Amino acid sequence: MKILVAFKILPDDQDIRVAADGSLDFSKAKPIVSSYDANAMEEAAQLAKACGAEVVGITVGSSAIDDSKVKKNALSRGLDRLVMVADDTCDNLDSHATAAVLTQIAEKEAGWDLILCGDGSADNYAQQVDVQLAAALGAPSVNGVTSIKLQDGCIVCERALESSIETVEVSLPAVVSVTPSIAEARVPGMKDILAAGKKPVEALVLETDLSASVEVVSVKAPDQASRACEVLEAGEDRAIEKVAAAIRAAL
Amino acid sequence: MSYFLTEEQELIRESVREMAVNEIRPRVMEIYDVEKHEQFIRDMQKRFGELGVLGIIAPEVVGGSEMSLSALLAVQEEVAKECPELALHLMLQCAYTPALMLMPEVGMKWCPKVFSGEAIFAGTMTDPAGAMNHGEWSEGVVKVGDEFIINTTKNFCTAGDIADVLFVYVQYQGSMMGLVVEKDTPGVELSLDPTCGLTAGFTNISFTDVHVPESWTCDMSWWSKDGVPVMGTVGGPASTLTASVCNLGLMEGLFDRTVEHCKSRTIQGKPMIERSDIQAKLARIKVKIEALRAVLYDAARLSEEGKPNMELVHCAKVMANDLGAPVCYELVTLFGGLGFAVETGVERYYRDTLGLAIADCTTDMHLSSLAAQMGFPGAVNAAF
Repeated sequence: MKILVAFKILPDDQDIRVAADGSLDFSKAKPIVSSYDANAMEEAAQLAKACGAEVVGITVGSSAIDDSKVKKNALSRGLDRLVMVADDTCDNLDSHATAAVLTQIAEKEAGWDLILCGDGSADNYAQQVDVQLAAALGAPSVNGVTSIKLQDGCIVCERALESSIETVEVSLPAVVSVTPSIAEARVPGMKDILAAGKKPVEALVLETDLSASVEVVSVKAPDQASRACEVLEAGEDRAIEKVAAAIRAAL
Repeated sequence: MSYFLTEEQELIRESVREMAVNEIRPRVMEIYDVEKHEQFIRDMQKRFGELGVLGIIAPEVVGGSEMSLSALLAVQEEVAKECPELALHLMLQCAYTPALMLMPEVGMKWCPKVFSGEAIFAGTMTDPAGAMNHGEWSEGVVKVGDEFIINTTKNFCTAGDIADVLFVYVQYQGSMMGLVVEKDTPGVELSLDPTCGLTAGFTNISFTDVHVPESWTCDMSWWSKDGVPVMGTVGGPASTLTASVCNLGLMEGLFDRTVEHCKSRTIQGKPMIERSDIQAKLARIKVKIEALRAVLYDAARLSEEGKPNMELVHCAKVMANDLGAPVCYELVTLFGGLGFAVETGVERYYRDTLGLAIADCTTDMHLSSLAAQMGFPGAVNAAF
């Protein structure tokens, strides 16, 4: 059995800085695996351990993701190997283009049974890539999955809805996006990290026609409201009502 | 990426950072609690074992990863940001491997258990006469047939109350010797020795007619001979640098907390971090932290390459010792009264740095050793 895990490499948002004009500075933000995809990787690794499957990570991004440390970081999270398209024309792709390139990779990895991914990326959280990828591959798609059981030729998934749990049986091959609760992402240990450098990595040439369907005009941080400071005397008449009125006015 | 670390070492550092923030930070105050510290340390030992960092510098034959000293320092540094004592504890689980390997029967039995996180190891060195005052240590052991019998007392043993196996330093015929004693061996008595910081688990241990087979002993005259410390440190470059890095991590952990505090705390309606006087103070502290880091990791790299520079090693410890308290004072006071309150977990850094300045020899001892290294007339290693 072959499980593909589609994941995104993105800047660590803890290190993104906001300039005075609201623009974002990514220069100090190191590239990391999107946290929700790390949960998908862990689920894939656990499924693979149970049934002896191969887990292949697939990803697309700019040439910056073809970085030794970035690749080892991904490979230390339960992947057996990694296939990527790393091309500067693939920087900041929209969901449609991302799905198109992942389709290219998945088609090269013929014979895959299951594609897992996080239900959205940790930056944009568009929640579109999984369904568009499935549509392009002609495969069934299930999202918001909280547990997966492998059966003969199919999987049984649970989805947590607002007030119920839905159980869905899906024939393979299928594309499934998972919630973070599906599996706690591992903290890579020494063995994972030392083994990562020896795992195969293949960088494919971009063969997909990328026509952007979305144009990003600007990305800015929201204006920060100044901290208000109003002092009311507790001993005044009707002080509590004045406090309540001030809070209502500020909201 | 740091010049001093490889990609794998950086990734290990990041993993330990994640574990420290998510698993150590929420429970860190338990280490100061007499009732809770043992379970906390055992739980963290198990996690360190799962991550594979306990045997990070140990040979593969006993379950280690044979990585470099810099890798251990990077791991300790991240742990120390959250819990300096755990970083010291981690060092002790790793640092005695070379000595244990001198006793194959012991090494093969205990190293795998310690490295997997199942068992805890402790070193008992400090004699009531003083850790490095070997000339005044009494003979702590006699040989009878093919075994040794220990009669001595040791102070300030970290994790001594919970350790499964102890490494005991004793003076034998004027030179140092190491013996391994398992817990529950008849004649071993423990008592907790409260200190002002680091952990609730510092222990006094008395050994009364404790029998140890000769195969569980090793010669340590390379460290101390005829009552004189040969090396001027507790255990050579690795021991001193791994103790120093705990203070580096401590300062960094407190620094990061202080920066976050200054971003959210306001003075007259504006965040403290926007004041130029506070920015300058924090920037100056950053300079000191990075200077220590550079000296420390440079000394480690030289040691790894078989070219240990003991002058640099002593410099690193002196810097770490001397920076700890003033840096902590500057940072803790930026919190005001909140920094003084125990429940905020800030003042503990100030207390802990004192313990780290004493561990693996004080500044005065390292300065005398540095003077000896520089060949100053009459200078003696660890003279104090």
